[in-house]
Amino acid sequence: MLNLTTRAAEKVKEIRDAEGLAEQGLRVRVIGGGCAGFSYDLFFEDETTDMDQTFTSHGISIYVDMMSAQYVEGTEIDYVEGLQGAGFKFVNPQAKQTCGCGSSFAT
Amino acid sequence: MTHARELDWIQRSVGVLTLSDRAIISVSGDDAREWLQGQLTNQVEGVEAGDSTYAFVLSLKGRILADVYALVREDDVWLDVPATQVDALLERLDRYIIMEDVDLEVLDDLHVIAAQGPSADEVADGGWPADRLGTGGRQWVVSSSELESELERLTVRARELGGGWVSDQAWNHIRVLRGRPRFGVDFGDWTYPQESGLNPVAVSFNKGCYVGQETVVMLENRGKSPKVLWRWTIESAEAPAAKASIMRVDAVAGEITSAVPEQEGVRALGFLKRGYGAEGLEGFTVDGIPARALGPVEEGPGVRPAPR
Repeated sequence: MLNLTTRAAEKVKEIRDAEGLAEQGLRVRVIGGGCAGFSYDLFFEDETTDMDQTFTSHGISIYVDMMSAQYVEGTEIDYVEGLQGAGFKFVNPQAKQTCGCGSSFAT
Repeated sequence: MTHARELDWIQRSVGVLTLSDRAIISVSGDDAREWLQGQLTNQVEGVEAGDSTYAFVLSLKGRILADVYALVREDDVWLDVPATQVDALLERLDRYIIMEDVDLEVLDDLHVIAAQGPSADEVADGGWPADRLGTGGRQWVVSSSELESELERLTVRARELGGGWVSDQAWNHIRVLRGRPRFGVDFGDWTYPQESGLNPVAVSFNKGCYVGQETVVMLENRGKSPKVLWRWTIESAEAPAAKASIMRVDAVAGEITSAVPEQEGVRALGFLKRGYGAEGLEGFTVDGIPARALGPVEEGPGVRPAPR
């Protein structure tokens, strides 16, 4: 299971509408690399495969492939703004360590 | 001087040898290059087929699991790695393949032949640049059935260029004289990149994220290495044992990692603890015999960044 906070969902809709991507879903992927070993990858997509798990959070479809799902189970995606920048923040209960910028993690 | 002839070849013409301590791992698939960029300490993106890059594979904590020549080909990348590290590397690299189209395969039948010296590029076409001692270099990867004939062919050409064949013993001797540390001997999974002295040739600080990067960047920008490899000369006819202590008065200032006897004294590589280099290059002893620090490996002749 994967959830978006209300702020994150609003930001996803704002970006999706601005890019004219209508009702596309949000693909959440884990890729190898990044300071701590694994990195998150987010992008819009309108196709799913048999390998995907599909969730809905605040009306937004979220697609996660089976391999990535084992690394992000229970993750909440928030959107934060601060003096040092703004972006999506992953609160992943499986992450034992994250890098300084928060874009990669270790399990 | 021991192995003076081979040293002269490598510094003035070219020496050819088989690197029997290296193995080849193939990295293939549509995502191979992009994925490797997140695994190695140096740039892989933008490296053309026929070119190479030298880098480290690090642990999550930033220690060196292997030194690697990434030999870029049209459809895949061959990693020239320490043969002793193949199993550990496969486990480490495979852990970070999630859904990427990346396949790893050990190519047991392949061997590395290197030509080292300023005339290396004239030995034969093809291959990849690989400067292992700061004098210029090129290497080729050949199958077991071709190894003997290719080594003979390249050696004949090296002789025509004023060089010749270099034995493993001579190679190890010369790399110490040139101040080039060797994986598994002078550095390894007990060292950080900064400690090896090979940062100028193995680490990019503007390539973006890779596994283990955070420790490397913090060490570079916020802290200092607890120890660093230096080049040494010891007033002795016999090389000290590996891990012999480098003393300053009654304090252990470091540790010898490699040493070879020369007529004018032993030449060595060894770690110097932080702070001791600032007190001058003299006043050290190894086994009670005077030793002199020649300078950090990083600033020595064996570490010369490739022009890009």
